[in-house]
Amino acid sequence: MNRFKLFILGWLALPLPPCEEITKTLSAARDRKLSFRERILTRLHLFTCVWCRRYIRQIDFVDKAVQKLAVSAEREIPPKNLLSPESRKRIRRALEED
Amino acid sequence: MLDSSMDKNTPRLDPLTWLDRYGDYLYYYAFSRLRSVEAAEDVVQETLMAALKSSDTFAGNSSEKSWLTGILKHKIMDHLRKVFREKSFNEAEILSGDSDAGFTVSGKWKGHWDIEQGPIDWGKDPARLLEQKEFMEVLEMCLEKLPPHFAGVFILYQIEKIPTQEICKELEITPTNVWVILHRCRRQLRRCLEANWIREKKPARGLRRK
Repeated sequence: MNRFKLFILGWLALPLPPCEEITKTLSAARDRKLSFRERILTRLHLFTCVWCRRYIRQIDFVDKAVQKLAVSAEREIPPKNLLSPESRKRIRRALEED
Repeated sequence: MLDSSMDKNTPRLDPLTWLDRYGDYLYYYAFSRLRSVEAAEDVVQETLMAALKSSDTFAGNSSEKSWLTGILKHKIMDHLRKVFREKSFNEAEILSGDSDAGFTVSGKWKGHWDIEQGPIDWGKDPARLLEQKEFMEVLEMCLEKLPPHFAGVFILYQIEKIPTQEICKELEITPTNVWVILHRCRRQLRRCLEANWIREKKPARGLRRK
């Protein structure tokens, strides 16, 4: 059964754009409307490909994580991200010279 | 008496204290967008210099801090535009440096996921990861591995919600290049998180081969 399923899926997937193309389209889809052709090819590809289905969920998560990182950045400054004393001195000197 | 009421209504600018009072804030603001220590320090310096020169344009209807932040935002864009101007761009160049992205490189399945390296299952609820401090540290580490000007575009897009058309105009790059940059960042971050967090935490749960 599994062997048969894999064969069918493989037969379906081969003529479709490869995963590398599809991942690019999936990313662009967050920002622009896909063409009809792109939509159909992507749908068919996703139907056959568990990796790309995971990929969409995961880049969705990556977007959320980066947004969350920025929100926490508004609240407090971690000690490792303070302006270093040397740079502070350098900037002060530049300002005074100006 | 007149003097004291003047003081209240027209906020006085105090350039000498800017660095002490807002230096860390401005620096972190810039760093969290540009992901590069040198670039962040440079834009802070440029911001303070520009502020010093144009302090007479300070309208007083916003706080000193938000006025400085406004200038800083422009300087961050200026910095990115300069970096992009100095580099030539096409899709292959944007995607290079991330060639080991997990795809099969030759044969019948070229461009499809390598069966050993394709995305693995991240579990039912990866959102809970966002609450873990260690995870966010891994994310920061992964962001620092991106070319800083790509990370800059990606972060501005994500947090300022600047639409891509506007990014194109501001940075003088084409929409296609912006899309490919966002794609490159997502792809590399996803893979980095998977390698350094998901696979680390669940070494036994690799992809099962049928």
